[in-house]
Amino acid sequence: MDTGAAQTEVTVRIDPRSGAERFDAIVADLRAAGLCDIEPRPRFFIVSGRVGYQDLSPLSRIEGVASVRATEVFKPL
Amino acid sequence: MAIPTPAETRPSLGTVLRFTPGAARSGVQRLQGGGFRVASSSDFRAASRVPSDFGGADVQFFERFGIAIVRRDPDRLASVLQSAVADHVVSASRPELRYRALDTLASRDYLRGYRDGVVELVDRLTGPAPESGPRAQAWDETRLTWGLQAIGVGPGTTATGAGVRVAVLDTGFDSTHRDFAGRAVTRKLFASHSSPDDVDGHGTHCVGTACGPRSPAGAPRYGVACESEIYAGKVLGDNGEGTDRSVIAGMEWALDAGCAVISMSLGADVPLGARPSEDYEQIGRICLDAGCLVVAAAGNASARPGRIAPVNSPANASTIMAVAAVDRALAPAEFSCGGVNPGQDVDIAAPGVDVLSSWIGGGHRRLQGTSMATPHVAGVAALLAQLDASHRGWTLWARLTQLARSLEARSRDVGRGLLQAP
Repeated sequence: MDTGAAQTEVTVRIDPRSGAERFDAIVADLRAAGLCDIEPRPRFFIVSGRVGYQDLSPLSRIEGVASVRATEVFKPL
Repeated sequence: MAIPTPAETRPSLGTVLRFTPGAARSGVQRLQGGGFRVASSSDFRAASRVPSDFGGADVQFFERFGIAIVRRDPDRLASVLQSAVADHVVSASRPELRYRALDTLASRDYLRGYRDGVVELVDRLTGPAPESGPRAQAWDETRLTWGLQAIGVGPGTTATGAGVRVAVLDTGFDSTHRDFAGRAVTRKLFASHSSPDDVDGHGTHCVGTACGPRSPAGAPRYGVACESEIYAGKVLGDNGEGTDRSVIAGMEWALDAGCAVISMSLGADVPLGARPSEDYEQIGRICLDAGCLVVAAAGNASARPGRIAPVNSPANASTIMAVAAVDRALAPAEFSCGGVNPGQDVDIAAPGVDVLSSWIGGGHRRLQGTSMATPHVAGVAALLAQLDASHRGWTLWARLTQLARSLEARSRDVGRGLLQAP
């Protein structure tokens, strides 16, 4: 869901204790809650995506989501 | 003072349980349901003395830490534990250990840690002392770079990294470089809005140090694992930047490809007092469990001796090996970050100043940075992985730090010491 509002790139961490079998369901919940441009990384229990600022809080309340944080920018050292 | 009974002096050892956060109360109830008598540390909060056996209870529960020590009936405990672990009520269990005071010969690490603490305190009170160390050594680089000599890679090194896959996640790789003709190279682009090529040169330099050839054209040997299989993931774009998205995608690709090592000469500054990202704690742990070691640059934000900056992200995750840089005198490079944030330590050090390696367009160049130190570690990890198939993941981490050579510098700055090849 892209509302056209200002968006930020986020990294969502799924609690591994939620089980690999729930990963797809959690990704679906994230999508329904406004996360777009989704790249799931099931092996790491991580989901990358973009979201409007107004949808940040709802993402972290989804069952099985351990954390939602703004994506970090890395540079060569 | 009462004379302690033999039982109090030397209680029998039991099992230490760590409850999953939020599940401690449920865990205690399970133990009670299994017939164990549980005493809590809170029961003794007002007491002047806590008896070492918690008044004869079967289980001593430390509420604040979510830890319980079970000292009786291991068979009964085993059945309770089985279901508690399966239900994620207990996250870990281990045999209880006995601790003792260390004598002067007992632990060099302990003494080093003690020394570091004292020096740190004196520095805070009086201002830091100037860095001291051996004078810059004269290295003859006719045949080998000084870095390879310092870590013990030379003509006598039999391991080559053959059959071991090494992932270098960076700005890409110039696979047309003449030094890599005939090598197994797999490249993949993860950075957005970027070409597949290394337009920066940083990645080609890092690949060269980790995996460069035994006999390069017109340069001394600069590569460690000269027959390893190269996996070059471009996670830093043409603008020199990458994000979690590209970095994590590259890590997953490397893990899925069966790489034994992932080398990441990249990072983001971390403020003093900040905590490491749980994301990379988790990812590093998953990689190690799957037999893949992740090494990352500690960062270049220090200006020694006056300012020592904290280890960068993602190297500050405890499950990712943080690599510091040393100079030709084997002293910490003035830019190299240190373990100043609690629990975010430097793990090992490697040559990171005046490092010669491959460069885009077919030539060679000298660079400095913890970026240059990191692929030295990745290369040696590949040598170890080739020599022993059990050297993977956690075991490979342990072997690297076991082989490290002690340095004069503090463990805060160089971890376990200077990387050494087998």
